[in-house]
Amino acid sequence: MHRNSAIGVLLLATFLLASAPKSEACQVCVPFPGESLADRILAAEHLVLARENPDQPFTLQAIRTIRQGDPVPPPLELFLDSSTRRQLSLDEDLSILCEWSPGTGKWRRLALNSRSLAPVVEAILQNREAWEVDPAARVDYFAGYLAHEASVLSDLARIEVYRAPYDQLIRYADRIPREVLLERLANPRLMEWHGLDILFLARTGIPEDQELIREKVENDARWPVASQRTAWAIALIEIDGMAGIERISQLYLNGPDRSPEDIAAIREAFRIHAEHGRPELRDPIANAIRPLEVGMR
Amino acid sequence: MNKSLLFLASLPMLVLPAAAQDIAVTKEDINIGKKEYSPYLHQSYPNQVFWGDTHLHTSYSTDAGMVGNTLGPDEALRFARGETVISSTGVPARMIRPLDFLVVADHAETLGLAPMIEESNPELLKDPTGKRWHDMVKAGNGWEAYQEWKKAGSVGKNPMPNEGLQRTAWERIIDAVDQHDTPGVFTAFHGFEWTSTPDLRNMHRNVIFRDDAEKARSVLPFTMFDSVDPEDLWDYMEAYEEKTGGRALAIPHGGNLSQGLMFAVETFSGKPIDKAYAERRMKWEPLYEVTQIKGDGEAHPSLSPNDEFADYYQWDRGDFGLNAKEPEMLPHEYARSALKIGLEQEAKLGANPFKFGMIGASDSHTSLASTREENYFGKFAGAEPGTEHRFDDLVSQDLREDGDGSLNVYHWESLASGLAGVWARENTREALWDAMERKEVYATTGTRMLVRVFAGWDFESDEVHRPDFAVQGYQRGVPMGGDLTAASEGQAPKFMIRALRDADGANLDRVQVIKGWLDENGEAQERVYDVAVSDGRQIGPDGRCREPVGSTVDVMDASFTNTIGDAVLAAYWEDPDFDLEQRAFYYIRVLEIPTPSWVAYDCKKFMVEPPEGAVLVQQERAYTSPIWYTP
Repeated sequence: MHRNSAIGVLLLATFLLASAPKSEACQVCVPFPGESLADRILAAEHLVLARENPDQPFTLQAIRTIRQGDPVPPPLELFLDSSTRRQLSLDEDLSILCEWSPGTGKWRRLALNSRSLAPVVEAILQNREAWEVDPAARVDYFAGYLAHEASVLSDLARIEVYRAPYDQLIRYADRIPREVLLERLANPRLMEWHGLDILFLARTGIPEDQELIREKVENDARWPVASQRTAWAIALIEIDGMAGIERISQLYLNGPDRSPEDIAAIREAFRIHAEHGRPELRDPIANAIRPLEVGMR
Repeated sequence: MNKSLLFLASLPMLVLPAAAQDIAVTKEDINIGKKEYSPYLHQSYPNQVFWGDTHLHTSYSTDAGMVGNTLGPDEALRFARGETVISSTGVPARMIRPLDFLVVADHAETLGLAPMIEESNPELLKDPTGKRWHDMVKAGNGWEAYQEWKKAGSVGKNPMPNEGLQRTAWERIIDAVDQHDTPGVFTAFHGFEWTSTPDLRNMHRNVIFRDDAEKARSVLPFTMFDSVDPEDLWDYMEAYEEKTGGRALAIPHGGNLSQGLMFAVETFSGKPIDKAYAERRMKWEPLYEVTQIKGDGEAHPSLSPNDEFADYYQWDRGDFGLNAKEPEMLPHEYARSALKIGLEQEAKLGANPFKFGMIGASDSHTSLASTREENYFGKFAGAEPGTEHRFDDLVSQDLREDGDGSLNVYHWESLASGLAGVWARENTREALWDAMERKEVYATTGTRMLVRVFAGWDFESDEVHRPDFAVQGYQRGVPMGGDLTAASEGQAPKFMIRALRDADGANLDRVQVIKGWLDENGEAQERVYDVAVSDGRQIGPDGRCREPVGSTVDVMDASFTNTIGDAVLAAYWEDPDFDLEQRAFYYIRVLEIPTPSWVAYDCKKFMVEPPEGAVLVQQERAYTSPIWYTP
């Protein structure tokens, strides 16, 4: 996904989430966060690793400071739930990564810091400046963790890669095995996370996967609450090219009245292909999207 | 009467031989049909424990039916009665022994949606929202339909206000329940769950009617869309009783997910509670469901640091995914601390708002009230035995935009719990409901150990061994759920306690008295006393047995033996620290010896590795309703 477009979508999503009551989020899905763990680590003024305070059970205390900023934060005081407490008691090397920022004035947990996460946290902090200059290098670094067995790392990688420009993103399509893509797509709880899986599925070249994408686009067009409408439309254009553009136009632009949200989702798909897809599709996309732009005026 | 006379008296035609004439038999001795013989003619005290689940969901609950549960109330009741039922995922299921009673407690909100979609109910199809969801499900987009329903509900908006459909679903449940209610054999209660969840904080209550179908039909279930304030639920129940002459009670549960709301000392609208509130709450909510699949709520180890058994399946991460737990919430979430707060409030208000008895229930959404570790069918149909996400299905998820996933709770963290043991004389709606109202009930975490306790002022130490100890207990004391008053100077309450293991379960480790009291500064205190321990272990002068019972569990084999522990434990206990000026409560906790958890059984059955951090060995337990002392 194009960075600017992605940021636009991100801002829109952030706005929608901020303006809606918190509990109006999907109640049955694992939410797809606007910020990645790397964002939070890089934004933190103070970072510590914490374990249970032996003098005050069920609370955390800092055992190592990773980043010390300014001003000096108050002592770490966070409740330690029973389940995490049990995990910590079983593994001496395990800790909890916590951050404090003057903006919130509160400590918060960022992640369970395991052996596999620790070097990544280090790399994130070390590469701060380099990644500001070369964002593609940041994506490339995290793409290496797309199939990592630790979900904290594979989830982090998914968020980072999904923000990348579409033409960079699809270069990593073979990093996640097809069976994993299908398994994840079959899990409705991961609905908000399916975007990357859909885009990668469109790159497998397997006819069954392409048929699944076509069916999904047809099916989603029938319902107002379909999720990942943008990703499925991008995927259809990826596999069917001109025919895909025409079909999406029929379903959304030339058919019955569509909600502004549906139209925005389709426009976003077109825009991504227009800016980062195959050159031969750019004119047809511009033609398809023109009525919308006229309508906008 | 001696044995000779007994023999003679048993002869209907008495002819005395000459050699026996020195035996003095009077006319009064020949009394068949004339005088009372049976000692039980006038006994009326509860003498049986009936086992049941007061919190069982079927496909008529939208959060069950829309996510794979295809079994309705009829199947749920058949399973509870001991029949083999095929689960929603196609697995044959049967209980070790039938239950004695069941409350089909389906969520009142959008009751019956899934079955009506399945059957393409014509009334549902007339409702625009109902039709949309119907069409979505039929087109394979059921999850999206469910998501839409859930979103609307989470902000308190009724997505499909349709009394006709609610009536249809309610009537069907009533019909199924009535069909299975067989006085003396099996009791099926009319009831429902009121699912108040303000900002995803759990305030749920199950409403149980004492009455027949006619009375139950006269109302519709009260929903969270009607109100999320418990006082409005009490208004509903009061109106029901006035209208029908029937009776209803509500059982709160899930305080651990309430973020301190469940036992708050403010009303839901934010005012300090007062005497009227306290009296009203205890009239309508005499019981608390202390243990169930979504966590055990007896005590929290951070509140009871001297209780090494308090750390048992806590779900203390937060609410249903929006807010993390903060330590100050905990006292208002767990039963023991709530009972203590109740004493403080009683001293302040003149009435105790948290003077509740305790039961366990399953809260299963599979229609299967299976609470034994080796026979656990899970929380949802999607986590039934053998399903792909049996362990890692999310029961509650971190919904925070900036969440780190630490509010996620996975199915492997659920516990196969619990059951309600009800002391009553007969298995009827009236007898069981009345026992619930007077709190002569107790909770177990899923097994069926028998527990009995009496408190009084003049019990002798050897009376607990008398075969008729219950007669003495009722005549000169009070049972669980009762009240002691009027202590005299120098007196202390004495307790007779008996516990018998589940006939098909594990031996017992120990019997404990949990005491809470209000000290001279008006602050609530608590203490745990071991009063009977197995295997000849000793109880020290501090009232505790520090020697663990040991363990016979073979985790890999998911097995244990009853070569440790005792099948029966009995205790006579006199409170050594009693102060007649101090309010107090006492409840009994009975612990079984360690046994494998359901995760351990599953790992063996399906040859899989356990999730990291999963409980593999645990100790089932029982919690009785307290006995209160009021100066």
